[in-house]
Amino acid sequence: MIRDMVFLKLWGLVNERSMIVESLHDLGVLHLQDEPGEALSPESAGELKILRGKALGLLEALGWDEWNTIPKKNLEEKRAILSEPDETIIEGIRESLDAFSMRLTEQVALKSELEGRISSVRSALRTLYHFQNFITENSTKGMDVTLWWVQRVSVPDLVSRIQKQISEKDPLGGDSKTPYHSSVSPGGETIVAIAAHPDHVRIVMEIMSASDCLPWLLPGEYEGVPYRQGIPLMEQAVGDFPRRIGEIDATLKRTKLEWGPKIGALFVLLDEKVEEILVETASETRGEIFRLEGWVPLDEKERVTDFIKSRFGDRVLVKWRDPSPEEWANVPTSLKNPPYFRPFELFLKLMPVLGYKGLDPTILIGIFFPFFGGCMIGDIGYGIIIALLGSWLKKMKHRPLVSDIGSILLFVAAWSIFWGAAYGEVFGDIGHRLLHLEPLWLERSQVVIPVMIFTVSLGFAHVLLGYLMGFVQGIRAKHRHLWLERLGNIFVLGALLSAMILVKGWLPGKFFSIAVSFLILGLALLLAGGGMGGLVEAFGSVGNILSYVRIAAIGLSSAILAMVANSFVDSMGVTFIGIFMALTIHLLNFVLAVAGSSLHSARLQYVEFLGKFHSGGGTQYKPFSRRKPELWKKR
Amino acid sequence: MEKALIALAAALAVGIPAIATAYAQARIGSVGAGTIAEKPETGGIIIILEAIPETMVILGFVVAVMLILQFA
Repeated sequence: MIRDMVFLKLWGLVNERSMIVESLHDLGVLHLQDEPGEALSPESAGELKILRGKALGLLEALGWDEWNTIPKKNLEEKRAILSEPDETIIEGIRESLDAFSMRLTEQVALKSELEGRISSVRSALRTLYHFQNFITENSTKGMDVTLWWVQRVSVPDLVSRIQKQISEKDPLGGDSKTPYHSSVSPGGETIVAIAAHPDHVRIVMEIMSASDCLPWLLPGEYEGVPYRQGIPLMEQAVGDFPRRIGEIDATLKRTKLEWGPKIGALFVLLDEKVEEILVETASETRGEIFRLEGWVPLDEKERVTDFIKSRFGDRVLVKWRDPSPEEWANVPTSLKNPPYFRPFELFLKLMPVLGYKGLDPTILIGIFFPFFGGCMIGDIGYGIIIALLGSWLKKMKHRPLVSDIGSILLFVAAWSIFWGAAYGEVFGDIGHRLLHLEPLWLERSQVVIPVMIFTVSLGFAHVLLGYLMGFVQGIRAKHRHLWLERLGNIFVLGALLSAMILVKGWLPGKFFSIAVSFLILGLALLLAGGGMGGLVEAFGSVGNILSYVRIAAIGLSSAILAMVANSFVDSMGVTFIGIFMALTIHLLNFVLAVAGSSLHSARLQYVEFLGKFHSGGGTQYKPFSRRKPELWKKR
Repeated sequence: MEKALIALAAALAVGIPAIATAYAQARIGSVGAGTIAEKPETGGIIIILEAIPETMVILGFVVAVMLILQFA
């Protein structure tokens, strides 16, 4: 059902505006006529918006997203403090957030640095392990070993130049050989280790530098440490760094658990306050008086009046009026259905918003969707499993969408069990084999045609109902073409039904003229309502009705697949493989049955039924209210 | 032989519309996914468009069942 709305005009004193807006926020029923825009936010909201942004940034940095864990009591206490945020409070929040941000940044930066260092130390160790034997061997001979990055120069050429220089400088130096060893790093660069007598190290450095070679150094604080001493030090560091990173991770996790809900609460309160300031700014002010206006559901009118009266007495003037027909296009649409059918409002969320004077099909969807779905599944065993699944999902109250799906599944389960009894199916033919269960109506895997006729008849009734609703919708909206076309379709379908009854001989032949009259009248109305397009629509409606045969088709495939699953036990015996195969195919069939029946039943609602009368063009009712915790992030 | 031909006819009655539906749904599905990514509010309309070609297979199935029940 679409709730009736009334227009509220409220006048109050400017010096009480903040309190009045806060009270309306608490009430959470006023849909503001002019939604305040963030882009035009006043300066007073600017500071709070910056703080809100900082708080959200910190939550992102912490990786915190558990809005449901914000303690309500905490929220209420802090809401009172932030009700009138002065400069001192804003300054205090800013300083706290900045200090927290700095500490968090320090920890994250330290972790990042350690991760970088551990990588460079490991890389250096790999290089040193490669040259370890060379370094040890030559160091014991009293030689100095230096490592170099070599680019675009031949290593043997370099070494021969070094040898030549050493020979020239010290012709009697005895053995003028210069041991070297080279390696290619994972990055593709060549690293060469050159051993030289301490007196000749200078020559090595000069030649290498002149050849654009860079010295290979140990990373970070190990730079300058001799290679042989560096290895144990770096090995110790490689063992120590993960521990330190682990400590930082633990600190960040503790911080997230402790401070996430607190900063989350702060974000919520800042967001609420910003919203209130924006509403205050959007109100029309004249001198000492301001005015707010918007739509309120009629069933909330009394509560709003009493609430404002009790809080502000005669200092606030409230006036109500009903929407005029010219305003219907702008009146927000709010649905209110019985609790059992409320989950089915989900189907309308995928459609354009209903117009204020539209027809709410939620209850009809709540009746037909599970009925069709259950008729397709038609198995007591599957129905029980769906009921268990639905009960489990329904308990997830903190996730409204999942809970709603759970409720819908319970309806589907009830109809599945009903149709399962009608077809005599419990996990296919197991019920018949073990429990001697007989179908109350017929066995659909054996008798196909009656089920098909039944589903087409069902489709006829459903499509006809859709056209009737379209007719009513056309009359209500004073849309002549719509109601003429829908009425024409009703007559054409009536003619079709009469003709079929006559063919069957259930009515005497003299009723033939009635069928022809229906057809002529229907075609005339179709031409008047929609022209040639209207005639095409009539053909489409026959296709729509035949489309319901999918209920029988999908049901049949599901029943046969279940029997195929059971036949594995027949052919393989009660063995592990036989039972495993049967269970696997039943699982596949169950998934297909649930997914297929939901999808096809939804399609029948959307295409064949809603398409006959549903028209969008409405405005969603969005009350100025404090949102539920799980919706905070979705701003 | 006659039964085999009827079975072949029934298979073609379902198979050809199934291929056509698969082709149509693949095209609609890929474009629809792109549309939903840009405009999530079009989800309902896309589901409707995606489901429309399925009627072909359903009608093919009806024809196949009729063929088998009438002639086999």
